Amino acid sequence: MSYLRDRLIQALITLYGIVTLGFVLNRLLPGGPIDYLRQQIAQNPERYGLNPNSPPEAYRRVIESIIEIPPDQPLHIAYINYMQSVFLEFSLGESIFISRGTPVTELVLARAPWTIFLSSIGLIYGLVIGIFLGSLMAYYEGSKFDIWTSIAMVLDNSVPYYVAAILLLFTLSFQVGWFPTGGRYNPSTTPGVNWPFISSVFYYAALPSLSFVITGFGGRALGIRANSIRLIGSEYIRVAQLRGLPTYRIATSYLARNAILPMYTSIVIGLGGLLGGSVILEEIFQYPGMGMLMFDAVTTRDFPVLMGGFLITSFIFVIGTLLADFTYSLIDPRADIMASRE
Amino acid sequence: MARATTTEFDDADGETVLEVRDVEVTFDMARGRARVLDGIDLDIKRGETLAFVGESGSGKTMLASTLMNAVFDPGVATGEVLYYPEDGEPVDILDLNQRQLNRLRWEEIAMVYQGAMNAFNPTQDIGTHFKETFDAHDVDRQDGLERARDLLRELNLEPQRILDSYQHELSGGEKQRALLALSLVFDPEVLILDEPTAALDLLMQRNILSILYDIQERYDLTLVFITHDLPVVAGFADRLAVMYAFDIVEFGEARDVLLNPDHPYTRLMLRSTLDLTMPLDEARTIEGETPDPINVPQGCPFHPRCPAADDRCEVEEPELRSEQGSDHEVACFYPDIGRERIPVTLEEDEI
Amino acid sequence: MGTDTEGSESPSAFEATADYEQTTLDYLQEQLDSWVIAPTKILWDDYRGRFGILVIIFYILMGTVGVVLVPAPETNMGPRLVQPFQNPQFILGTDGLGQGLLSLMVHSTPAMLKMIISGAIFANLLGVTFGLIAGYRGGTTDKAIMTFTDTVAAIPGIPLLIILAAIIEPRNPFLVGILVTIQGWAGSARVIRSQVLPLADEEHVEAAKALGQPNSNLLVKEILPHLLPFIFIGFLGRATRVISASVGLYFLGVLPFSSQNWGVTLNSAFNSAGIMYSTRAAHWLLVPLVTIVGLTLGLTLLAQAFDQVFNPRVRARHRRGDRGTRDIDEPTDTADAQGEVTSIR
Repeated sequence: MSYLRDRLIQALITLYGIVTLGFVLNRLLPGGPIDYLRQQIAQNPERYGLNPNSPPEAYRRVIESIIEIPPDQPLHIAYINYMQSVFLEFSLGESIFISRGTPVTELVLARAPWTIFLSSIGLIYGLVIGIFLGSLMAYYEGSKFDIWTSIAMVLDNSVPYYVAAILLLFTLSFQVGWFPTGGRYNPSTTPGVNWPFISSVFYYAALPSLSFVITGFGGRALGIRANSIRLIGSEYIRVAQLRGLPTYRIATSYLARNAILPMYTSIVIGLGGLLGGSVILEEIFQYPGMGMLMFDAVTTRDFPVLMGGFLITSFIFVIGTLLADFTYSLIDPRADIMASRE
Repeated sequence: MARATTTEFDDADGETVLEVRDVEVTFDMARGRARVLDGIDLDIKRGETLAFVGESGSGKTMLASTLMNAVFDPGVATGEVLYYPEDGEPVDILDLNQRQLNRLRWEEIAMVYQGAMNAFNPTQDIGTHFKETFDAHDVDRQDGLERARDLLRELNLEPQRILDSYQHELSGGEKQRALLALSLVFDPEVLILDEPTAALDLLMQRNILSILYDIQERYDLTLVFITHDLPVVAGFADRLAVMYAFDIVEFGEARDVLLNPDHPYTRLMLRSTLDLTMPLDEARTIEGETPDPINVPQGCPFHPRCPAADDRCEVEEPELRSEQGSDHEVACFYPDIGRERIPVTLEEDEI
Repeated sequence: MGTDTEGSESPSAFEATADYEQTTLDYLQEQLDSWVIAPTKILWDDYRGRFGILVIIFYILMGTVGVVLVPAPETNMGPRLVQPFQNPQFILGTDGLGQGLLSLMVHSTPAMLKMIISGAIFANLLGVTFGLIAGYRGGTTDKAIMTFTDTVAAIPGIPLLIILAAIIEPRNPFLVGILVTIQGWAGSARVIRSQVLPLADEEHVEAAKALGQPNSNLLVKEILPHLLPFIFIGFLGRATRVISASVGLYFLGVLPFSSQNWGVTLNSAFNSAGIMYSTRAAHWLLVPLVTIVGLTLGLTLLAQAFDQVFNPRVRARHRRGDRGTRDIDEPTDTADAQGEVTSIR
């Protein structure tokens, strides 16, 4: 129990550290929404009702009308204020630029489910396929199947997900037109619990999640294969065979179950990678999720949104690892002993 | 090739339970073909305790595996292993299909590994091991568990605690006994024990041996003991088979073999057994190395290390045969010379 | 009962001494052999190792000799979108701006190599140091370091990199390399620590301590050798991640385009209006993709081959039919290290 308590405290410290870090980084970001806006106006004055020759005050007036220029606060006060608002009021501020005035929490949480949706499909399918293939490869170790599949898995592991994404997008979307080139759902459908909407959600998510899945199972398969091969010589496997247990039972409860254990932590870390990696993926597929939001936030220097997205992503990751740690003891009865070692 | 025949055996309980006929096990390896069992012929009597003794690599574990047709890939076993159930027709174990094998294993013949350190699935509790074994053999779980509990109690274990525990929660001795209980749960005919005392301390060794003795009496078991530790079986075994270089080199009643060893290897082995009263510089090892299964020397496999060897031994391989119609068999041309040149000081009471 | 198989002519086995003597030269030669020659041979024998080594040599050549041989890319050095394998002057074709793709690929390599070296070394250094200290010291030091490491690991990777890139705007490839792995060392640290923890308790380490060996000696002689598989394989894994992350960032456009990079080429291909709809631009996309995957593949294969080097028993076991001599349950360090390489995100 003390182990879990420690982990909880660690998690809190981690979250606190990340909030602070995010705050510091934000302050270090050169420029701000104002500069960004000024740049935008300079590039396209007509859109803002100005002409290329307008004097600077005109620019300033336009800017002021769009953005409320926040008062310049000394650093430590701003920090305390921010901390207070986050931890006590659960407010992450309001977006300055992307969607002016909207509470960040609202903005981010509207996007979060989509990103989680994509990431979880990638994680789950990658795992399932990986474990299945890996076990098969271990069972037929040394055979032609094993050798060729191993090579394929190494290849698969060497391809970054965005390579697959670009290829898929290029071939299946742009060239052949079987899949949409962007968006989360068919704009002509109405969001809600209705078949056209739901099916379009899956349709639009197909390629992005496929990119994750296709490049995700190689590493897992190789890991399971290595672990299983290591296990196959184990005494208890042999004894199980001598006890007359059916092969099916040995393959699942004895081999697979024990082979997955060492990979547990890497699976959890993989989750974090997926959440972080969704930025690139969403940019490629123009899929408005948290990743894209973060990207836009950096570009437009919308600090509150940036901070908020940062925080919420980390939060999800920390919760995820915490859950994983807590549930590990359910899977591995030896966990108490291992935990006390830590 | 060694033959241990039954014809001269005049034990009243002379029924055979396992008949091994010309069993050979080969492995095709990258560097050549390895013969890890060299044409063994053997009869195991119902109810006896038969011990196989030899150094590591002599083939004894392989023989045990063969008895259950469990030689692991890519090993190939040829020959016959005939099993005579108490009622029913004899079956050739090497000829059974997977389903039949799964039936035979554990129900008729069970095997217990050395130390039992890792014999259980670390992610399952002991009780689950029992239950899944029952399921695999179509035995009702409740009935089976009752029997399991009885067995555990007989072995001085607290049934529910053991059944609920995981492997890592049990001590070495507890694990060993739990494994023993598991192996006896279907009341098998034959129990093979592969180095059961290897990882145990002396106290536990005695413990296990006395438990085994009781169990054998009570359940009318045939025990096949495999060990490299002579003193362990000295008082326990009925018959003893000495293995060297993948073959049986001496075979007979335990007392006989130990008190009147015929084969030079047996004699050397006995001599090198450490005795607390022996001065250190009298401790002897056997010079040389065990043969490589791919390159077994021609002739008698022991001749490179044998003090009694001569030219004939380098060329001809001696067959296992008995002297003067006794049941003590040996595979050597010159057991007399061996006796001369290798003094052995094992006393009757040391057994 | 001991039936030893070593012979000893002398009456007491305890008095036997070894006859073998070594000169310094012998010693050096032995070290060279066991540390350099033998491993290289093993790697070469394994088809994966061979391929990996060849690939890496190829890329190194590309980045060094190639830069001299192949002309630097310039816009309009040739006609636009020349198809590959058509024109001997532009064997890989040209992109939408008329730049030769071969030139683009080759001239991106030096920077990429620099990034890999700095990034992988940096990450490894940090990871090993933290992991070592944490595992060796244990207790509160361990907890403190691990909390710090976990915090770093929990930061969302790509967003962090984007922000840092915006702040620092690194142009020097060495700097980019370090930047890109600023978070990556956390994983290594954890793995190293989990290896050091049991070792620090182990008997031979305790024995050495009891004999009065200074800590530094211990670390080098006893613990470091166990960590070698992780350091090597970790290095390779880190390298693949540097490639993946840097290309990704260049592709997104958050890193300044001061030097050529495969990601830059991808970016320009991807973002050229309408290009994606035509197959004429396929090579513009595919060439950088293949280049990226090629190097990553070489590194990954080499990492896999390293398993053979560090694990003689695995080596023996994989020879068909040797299973009769299999050791049950022996730990294979490198299989854990492989966990490092198995996810390049």
